[in-house]
Amino acid sequence: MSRNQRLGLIAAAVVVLVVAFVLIRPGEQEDPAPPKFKTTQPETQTAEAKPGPPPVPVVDMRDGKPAGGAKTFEFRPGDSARIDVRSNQPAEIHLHGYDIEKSVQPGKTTTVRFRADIDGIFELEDHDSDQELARIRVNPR
Amino acid sequence: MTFVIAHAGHWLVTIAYFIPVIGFMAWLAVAQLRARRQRERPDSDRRPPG
Amino acid sequence: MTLPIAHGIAQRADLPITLGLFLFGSVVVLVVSFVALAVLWRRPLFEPYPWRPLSGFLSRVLSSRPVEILCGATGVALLGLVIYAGLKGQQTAAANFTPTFVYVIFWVGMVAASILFGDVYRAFNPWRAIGRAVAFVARLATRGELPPPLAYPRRLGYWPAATGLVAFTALELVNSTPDDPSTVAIATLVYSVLTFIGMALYGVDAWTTRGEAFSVYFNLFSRLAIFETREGVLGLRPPLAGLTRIQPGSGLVLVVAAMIGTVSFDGLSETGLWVDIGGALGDLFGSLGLSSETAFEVSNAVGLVAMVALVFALYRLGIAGMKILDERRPAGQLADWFVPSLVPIALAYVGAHYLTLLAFQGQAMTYLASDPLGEGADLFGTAEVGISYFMGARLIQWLWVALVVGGHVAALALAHDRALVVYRDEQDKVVPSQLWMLAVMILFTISALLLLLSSNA
Repeated sequence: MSRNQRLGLIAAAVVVLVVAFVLIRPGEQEDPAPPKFKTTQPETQTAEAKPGPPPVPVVDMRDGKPAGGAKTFEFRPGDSARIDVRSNQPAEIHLHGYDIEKSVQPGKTTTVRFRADIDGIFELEDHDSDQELARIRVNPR
Repeated sequence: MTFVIAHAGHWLVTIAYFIPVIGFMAWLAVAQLRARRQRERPDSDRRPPG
Repeated sequence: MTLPIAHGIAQRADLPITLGLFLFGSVVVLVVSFVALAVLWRRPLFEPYPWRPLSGFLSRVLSSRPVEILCGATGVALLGLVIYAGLKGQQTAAANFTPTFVYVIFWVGMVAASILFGDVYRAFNPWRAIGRAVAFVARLATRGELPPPLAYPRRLGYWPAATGLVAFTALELVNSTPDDPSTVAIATLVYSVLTFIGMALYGVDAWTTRGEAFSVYFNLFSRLAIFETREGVLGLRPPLAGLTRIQPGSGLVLVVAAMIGTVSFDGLSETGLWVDIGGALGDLFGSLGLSSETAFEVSNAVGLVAMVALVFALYRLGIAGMKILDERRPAGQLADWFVPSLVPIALAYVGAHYLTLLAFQGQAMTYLASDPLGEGADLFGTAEVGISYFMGARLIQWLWVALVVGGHVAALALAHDRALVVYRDEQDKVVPSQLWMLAVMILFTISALLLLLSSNA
């Protein structure tokens, strides 16, 4: 194959890649949806986004375990995130990544607030038992 | 929860990504085996060397 | 069984790539492969390769004996700290020096150091340093009359290294409490004893070249680097060229299969597919009477071994294809000759999977160094420094794709070059043989992208 043919082939390949990039749009995030909840258990339904302000995510701890299983709470980047935690027993909770530690007392709701500016998946856990309480997913910009 | 190809659903879709390569390997095997058998057969099918 | 957040010491798990990025990555891999086939060069570029000694004060200092001894001593000190902190320090993984040092700085960081700077592990290897020191003293004590070590058996080859690699990744991936500091410390002690036995039997050099798992592992990656030391002199070589001088040996293919297969299992264990398969296996073993924790561990062990076996089998399938054209050369020999070209793909797997672990959790070393036992010390004044998440998920994901594509291109180049050498007298076999390697590499590369798409989805 001559040099010109090789260069031609490489040029054609570049064109194909540019076209593919434009058509496939790999840079875009797929779900620019308001915050929604998904559970990690296959049986439970996904909560539909309601009209009006979305409900505040709640973690209900019963004897140190999250009622309904550990749910995934999704946030858009930059959201003022808020998660309410209740427990029937005193507990220390820790949100990884954002490094927020709070105590939860029975009968009182503890609110975890943070600005969702680090993207990724973070675990909210019971600090003493390492029990996973919820997953927080912050989507990329 | 099955092997989710984000939003495409079932794990069979995953297998779909491998089919072209597997198909290519199968075609390659057939083509090369046939070429080998032609070389081994010392009969009139072969073109004379040179 | 819920999916564990990857690597218990990590504060953050990665987001999966979008379907769009997966598709685009796949298209790039395919287009690049097609172009590579068309522009194949005719003469080997990578072998033999030029090596040029580096002149200058810095290179002489870096390859000098005192620096080597200093590096070895540092390695030994760190080994001691890993064992001590693991046993005596606070048993919380995130607050203890040992798990982060071993799984992040050592296991991942040393790979990065090796591809950039060459075989630096050889200098820091604590077991080699201790072995050489002991040999030195023994030679003095016996006035040079030290009995020679046993000859390293050819059949043993790289098998101890392959076993060691699988055992180490089993510690990380099979174990239900991999980040428990004392577990890591005890494993380190056990590994040290086994390594010393190997060195005592076969000699320090022979054991570190074939048998010591980490020496073999980091040495393979170091062959991508441009720095190479010959007879104590530091020099430069072209990138990737070092991979052409790997000594073939029994078990070499298994080592590379372990490098790719174990990381694949790590990725697989974060997908929904593993919730199904692993869960089913766990139920099976549970019904056989094992406790749920043991059943979980056995399922993971099955998965880990299965992935290594699968990678091995896929590669050997490619070699079997080559055998259709090449009846003369034994399959085992072909397998050994072409396996070095898979090392860039192994690097892509390791790099993509552990990039954020190193970039983010690696920063934890700043506070762990100040407080290795997790008891409130502040040796360097950095005990309160936090982790900075300086890279967003988008950048990280593009880096993954770049690594995967780059690894694929490097692998294709090396395999083509090797085919030119192997088939120099049968030029008509060069391209057809390469089509087999290409297919195998595309399988591995697309699988890497699939794992990135499906993790934590």
